[in-house]
Amino acid sequence: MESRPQYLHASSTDDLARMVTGLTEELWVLRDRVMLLERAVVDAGVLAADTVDELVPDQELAELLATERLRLIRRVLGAPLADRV
Amino acid sequence: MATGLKQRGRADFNFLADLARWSGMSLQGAAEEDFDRLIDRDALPEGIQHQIRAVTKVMEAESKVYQWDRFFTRFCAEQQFRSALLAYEDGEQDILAEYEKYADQGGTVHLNPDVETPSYWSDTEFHLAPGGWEGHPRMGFMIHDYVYDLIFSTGGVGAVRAGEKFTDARVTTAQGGLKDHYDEILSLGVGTGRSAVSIQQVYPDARITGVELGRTELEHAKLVAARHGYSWELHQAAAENLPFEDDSFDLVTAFILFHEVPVPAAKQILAEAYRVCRPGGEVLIGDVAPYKDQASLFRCMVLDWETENREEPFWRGSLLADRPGLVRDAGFEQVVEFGASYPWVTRGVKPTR
Repeated sequence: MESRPQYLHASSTDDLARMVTGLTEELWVLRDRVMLLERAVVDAGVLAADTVDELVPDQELAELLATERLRLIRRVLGAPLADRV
Repeated sequence: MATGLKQRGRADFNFLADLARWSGMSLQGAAEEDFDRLIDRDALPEGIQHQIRAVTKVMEAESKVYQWDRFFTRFCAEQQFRSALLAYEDGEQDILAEYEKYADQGGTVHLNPDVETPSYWSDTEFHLAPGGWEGHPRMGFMIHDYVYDLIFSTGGVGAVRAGEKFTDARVTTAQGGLKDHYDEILSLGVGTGRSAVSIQQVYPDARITGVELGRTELEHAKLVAARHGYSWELHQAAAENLPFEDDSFDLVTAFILFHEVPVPAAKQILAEAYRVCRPGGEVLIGDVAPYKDQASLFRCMVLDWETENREEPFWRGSLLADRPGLVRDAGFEQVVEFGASYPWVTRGVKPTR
């Protein structure tokens, strides 16, 4: 059933918590930058303040988003099961 | 886009819906392969309840893909209301504006501040909704427009298989009536009006009355009616104690109500359904099929998980009960049942005097 070799010894919950907290920290840094980028674009008069908030993806964009979203789910969340799904 | 929904909420719901669907399709598909390989059917105990318990134990211990499917399913079940609350906060102004816009439309909500709510209803946080069905002043909105429309509707949640259309089950149930037309239809546990929409679409000339314990659900049902140009009489009442005269309705319906109530309450509800049903009228129940009518033991196992893991405490009892027997015991005749895993339809006729 388990065909892939194992490299790591069982991690403590603290180790995993540190990784998740560090990941959240980096996620915030990225989100902060996106928010600043959006503000800069609005201030430059390129977009209205609520353009991104209110944007409803058309069919083409919706399909593109769906494809990338499913890729993300499969690659990240499916990583432990890569040989099965 | 749904009322009040912004980028954050849309992206969040898209993610949860796709995660639930991927888990329901890909992971459950692989889990069923494990099931066929791991389960020795000759060694199973007698009785479906014992069989479900036995196979669950094996799969939870030995099928990694089943473990992850259950983890992701639970994760989505927890997150959906948290995400709905955040999305509601972002869109509250637009949401309240829509209620205001339709204030004079959709029919009438008859609230009863003295309604006796059974403890099984008020003490249960159904579907893991924080605080239960009335855990937020606009819980009805969040359940209908966000959680159901944006996550459940894509399938892979509960009894709705991944890829199945969520609303089809309500139309299928409504079409299970014997007649092409009914004058007065009662919807027990009308909730936010989703099944009432299907009933009205199938019987466009019928007058629809709904009963529901939850105030926020009733208020949202009225908005849903208004959006469709319908008008319903919506009463805050327990289905066990209906505020109507005998022989008031020629069709009494209940969609996915019975798996949310304990069997003793189901008996009371059916007794009331019989009382308010006109002679020659019908009762029509749509719900998840009992275990005996499910296609496979694997499917029974997946469904049974809802009982302890998605705050569905009456699910197992309902799916083990003799549903047509309960309908007959209430006095209905010509009791038949038909359908699929979901919906499974049970119908009875009140004898003419």
